[in-house]
Amino acid sequence: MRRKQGSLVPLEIAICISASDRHHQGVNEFHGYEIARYLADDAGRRLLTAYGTLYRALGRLEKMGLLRSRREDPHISARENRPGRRFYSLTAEGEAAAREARKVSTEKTPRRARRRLAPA
Amino acid sequence: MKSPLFGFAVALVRAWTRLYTWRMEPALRETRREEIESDLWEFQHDSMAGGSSSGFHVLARLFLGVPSDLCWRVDNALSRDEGLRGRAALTTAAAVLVAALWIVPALFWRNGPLERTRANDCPSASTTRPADSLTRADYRMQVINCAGAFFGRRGSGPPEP
Repeated sequence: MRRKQGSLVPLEIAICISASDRHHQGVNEFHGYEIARYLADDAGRRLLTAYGTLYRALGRLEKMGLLRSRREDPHISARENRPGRRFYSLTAEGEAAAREARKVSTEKTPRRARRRLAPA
Repeated sequence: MKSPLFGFAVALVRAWTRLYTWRMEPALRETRREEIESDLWEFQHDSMAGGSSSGFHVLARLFLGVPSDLCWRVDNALSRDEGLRGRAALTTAAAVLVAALWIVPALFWRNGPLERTRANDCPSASTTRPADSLTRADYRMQVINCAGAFFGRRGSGPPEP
């Protein structure tokens, strides 16, 4: 099934919210593995997001202008003897999308709770 | 210490990444390969890695992401030259197949396998011209007549010679 142009899937929304949370905690940049850990921690699960799913979502968010990325200075990775990282950070549009998603989720939650509580 | 399963899983992820990024635009290909390589390294050096469960973890992440990898590949191939090249190759292959289907019967026609076909043995064939001078339209009519004689009512076919 094709997605509507500009619409976000739940994983992309979760990435925006998680990145926004970290941004408010003072973490402005994250690499792929870090965001996978954040997402797993936030959802309370052990399994990290699949490679293909995660990096495709990151690429799509970057294309939509909600994230921006930069390659790590190769000298740093060479000095630490590890592969180079790609760092992502949330843009102003991404922050707005996260805010909007949070607002929608808080609007939905009480309605669900009310429905569940009604029979009692 | 890493288990053999973990080593195998990491090798499989690398091999799969090489496969689905094969012959892509170099910048895209290198970016994706670096990201996966970095992810694997981070996982290996993270506290949650180690033991056989980490091998299963890597394999699960690999297999669950395969559909997205393929979609990503298609998305990125279609918007670039490779997509056009792929479509051109597919069109050429289809054209060659159609040409082959067209040419092979024509060659058969010229080399005379018609001299001994059921159509020539058909009762209606004796009423028409000899096989050497048959045109394609004659041959077609002959086949239709024979088919009609075969499937038609008994006794209504052409008379025996």
